[in-house]
Amino acid sequence: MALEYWLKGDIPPGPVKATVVTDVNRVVEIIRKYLGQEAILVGANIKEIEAAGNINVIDHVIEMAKALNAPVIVSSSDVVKRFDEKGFKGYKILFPLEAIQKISKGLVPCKLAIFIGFRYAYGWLLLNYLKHYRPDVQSLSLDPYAQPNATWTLPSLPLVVWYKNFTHIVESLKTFNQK
Amino acid sequence: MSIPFRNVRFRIDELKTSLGEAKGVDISIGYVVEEWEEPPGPTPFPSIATLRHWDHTLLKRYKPLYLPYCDLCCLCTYGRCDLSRGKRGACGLNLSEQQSRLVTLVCAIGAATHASHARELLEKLKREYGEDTPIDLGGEVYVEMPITRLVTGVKPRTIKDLEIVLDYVEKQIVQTLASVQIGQEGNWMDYESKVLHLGMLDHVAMEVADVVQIVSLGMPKADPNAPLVDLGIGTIDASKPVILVIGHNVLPSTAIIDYLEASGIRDKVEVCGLCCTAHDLTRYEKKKAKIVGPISWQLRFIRTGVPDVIVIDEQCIYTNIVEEARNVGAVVIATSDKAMRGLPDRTYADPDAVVEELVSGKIPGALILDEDKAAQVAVKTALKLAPMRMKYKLSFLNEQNIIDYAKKCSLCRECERNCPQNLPIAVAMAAAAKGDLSKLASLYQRCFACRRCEYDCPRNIPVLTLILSSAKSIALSEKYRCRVGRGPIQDTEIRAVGRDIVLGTIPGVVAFVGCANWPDGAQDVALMAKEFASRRYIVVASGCSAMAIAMHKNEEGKTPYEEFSGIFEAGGIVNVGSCVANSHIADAVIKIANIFAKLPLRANYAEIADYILNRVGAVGVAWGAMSQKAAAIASGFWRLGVPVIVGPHGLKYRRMLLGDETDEESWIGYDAMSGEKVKLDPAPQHLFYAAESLEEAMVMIPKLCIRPADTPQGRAIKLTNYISLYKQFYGNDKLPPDIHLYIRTEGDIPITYRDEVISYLKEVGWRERPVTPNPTLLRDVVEKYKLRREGVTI
Repeated sequence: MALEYWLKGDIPPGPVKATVVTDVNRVVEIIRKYLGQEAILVGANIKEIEAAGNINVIDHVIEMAKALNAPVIVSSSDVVKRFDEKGFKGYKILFPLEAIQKISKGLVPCKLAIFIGFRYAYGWLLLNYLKHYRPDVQSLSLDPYAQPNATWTLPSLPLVVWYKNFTHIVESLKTFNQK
Repeated sequence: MSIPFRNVRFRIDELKTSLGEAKGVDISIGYVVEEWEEPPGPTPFPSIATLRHWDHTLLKRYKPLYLPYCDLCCLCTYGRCDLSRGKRGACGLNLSEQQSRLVTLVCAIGAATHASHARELLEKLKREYGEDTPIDLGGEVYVEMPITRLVTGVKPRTIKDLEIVLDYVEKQIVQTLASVQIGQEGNWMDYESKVLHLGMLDHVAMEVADVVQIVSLGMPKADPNAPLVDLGIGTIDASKPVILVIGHNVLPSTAIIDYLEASGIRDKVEVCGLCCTAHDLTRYEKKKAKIVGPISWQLRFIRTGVPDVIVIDEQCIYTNIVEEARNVGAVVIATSDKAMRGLPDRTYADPDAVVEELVSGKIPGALILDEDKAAQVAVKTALKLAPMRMKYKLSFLNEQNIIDYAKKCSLCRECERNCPQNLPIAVAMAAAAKGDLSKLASLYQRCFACRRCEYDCPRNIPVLTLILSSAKSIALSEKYRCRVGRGPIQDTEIRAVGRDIVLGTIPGVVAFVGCANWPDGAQDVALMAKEFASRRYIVVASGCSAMAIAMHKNEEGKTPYEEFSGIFEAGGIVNVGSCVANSHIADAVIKIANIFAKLPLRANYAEIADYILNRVGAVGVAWGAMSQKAAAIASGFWRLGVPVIVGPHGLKYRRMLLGDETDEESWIGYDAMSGEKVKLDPAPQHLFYAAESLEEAMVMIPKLCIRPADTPQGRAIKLTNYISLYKQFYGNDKLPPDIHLYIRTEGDIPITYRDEVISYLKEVGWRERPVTPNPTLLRDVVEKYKLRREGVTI
């Protein structure tokens, strides 16, 4: 199941499909390759992931953003409040569709769009726009569910395993940044 | 121009023949609608191409952002063709054109469905009540059927006059649908124009359907004080025989009520409904009939075992309903040839014999294409079946059964992978296996009971039943009050608020419409409706969303319909009725242009739509939009200049229509008085937008109510709401980053936030710019203004 895309009814058949990256170190390499050219898009579903797994994901997103010095694009009020509570300033409130529109026009410069915390179908449709209409912008889904329309995606894994992988990725990026 | 061929009328002032001379000869071939004092407008009975210029004007500003649902095309045997990344299929279409083509197809399905519904109502009610039934929508509605008048130029007086209107709609739908055939249209913008055309036709069809049933069946006529009726599973009296009606065509339901009344047994049988038929049932029988809930309550309610007989008519009915009914010992009576469900045809059988077949279980249901006979069979069957079915009523699984089933779960998460809501079922199952049913119960609000989880369970666990049984107390506590659909808005109400809407001092009209594919449950629609009514917006509702609004209570236990007025006024929450009553929402915005601004209505589509786009701050919210009909309804609003926001599932409609504030050229218009080219405000910013979250929608709503023609006072009020909601969700220290785009002069700045806004304006280098009080996107409108100033009647 890990290598399969997640929701069965929402998998578009198509020839251009995401590479499911099972080696977390490879994910770190991908992110590092685009250092300074990334944007992190955080969806409203991140609070659902936190609630389902009783885990803290947003703090790790902050750490990742700081490690990469990458802008975070967010529209969820809960996430914004958490950012504010943590004193994290490196975010911009922008609605996802408008963010994609701006990325498409080069108004949000990025070569790698990192997606995390999106409702599955909402995420894969946004990703499909980038896939077809901005193939020069690569995309990476860090959600616990494999996304077919990203360039790269994490596998579909139980939340506990996913969380372990995710925190490993963030820790690796932090370590790299400290070197 | 396309005029139905059989209705020709011409007048000859003087006729000289070998037989003699005649004066004032008036010849009619076929049926002719009575003349209308208003001069004919420019676009009667528009064909696909007639309003293309207006469509392209809109689409140059609101360009599609394509979100392909599928990267391939499989509509012909050349395919499947790979359309990814700029490739074209064997027919020559690319991915963008294919998406627009599919949206055309979707909207054709929606428009055809409403047109067919309208045709059935018209033909049957003409037969029953007479073709001369006047179109009388009450003493306060003088401009009846404004959509029909605007589109066709016909001012109908009787329901017979609507034949010519539906003839036109049907012909145009066929013509437009034909463009989807391989090798027809090949340009995205022209496909999108067809989408808008279909949306307009859909609105005409809806208006015909609803007006015919209002004037024939005695439904409320623009009544702001329409009665309140019971809504919710908990309101249904399971001790009585229960007939459940599902669908959209109310005629079988009214026949059931009539039969019960005629037999003197109305109080002995519970009649309740789901989806729009329920709305229309309560519009017909205004006190006793009950609404179970929106479309997604179908399997929820059937699995309670409460209904004895399920009568289905058309649209949005669970297609496997016969099996679901059989599982609880109930029977199905199908009444439409559009939804026969494999049932044996008993239209011409003796009703008592059919009752025996149903009660004995010989047949699981029957197709009866005669409403009166179906009603008789339904009632008699319910009376006989109910005592035999008592074991099924409210037969939820008990706690131990639930736990036992949950223990069978292997936590493979196949159910989650097939859940459109991606609900955390496995976690809930694991908790249930340990005796904690709260997590399963909490899924109830967000589950729309599609049953996809059950189809994928390798251990055949009835997941949905487990969720419903865990939430039994929640389901049975659903007891609400819903305002009966009132139908049209009164002309007097429009006169009272038209000025304030156009000036912006009423910040907007927000219409909550559409289906029940809500991402997080019905309560979000109620929360939005209450918030905007409290902010003095005019809130309008229809269909399943109107039901969702009822499913909420304040601290005093009052539902929004009890808390807010039913008048079309600032702070009102107005339920117009079922899906087809959506037409009254479009009617209201058209009437603002016609009654308040005195713009000619007759076949004057583009000018009215341009007026609405630039001056009438209205926005539709279809938070749970799901169906093809919803797509058609939305596209009718787009052509009329009304933006629509959908929930996150709405992104699956394949493309959004987004404005781009950085594309200066797209916001160029004219000052209708001077004819000068001017840069207009980027308002409304988008025409079709899928919000990911509730807060995003609630911030987007006030923003999309902004119009270029707002007065400074009106703009300041609209911005107050925009800023206030933004702060409510994102923090008091924040301002919307695009606020400077909507401030033309200092007079636009909301007093409440004045210092903060001025400081931000300085930061972004804002400069004052002129207000354009008469904005238009159409050069023609400039000419019309000039001619009108010169006293020419046009």
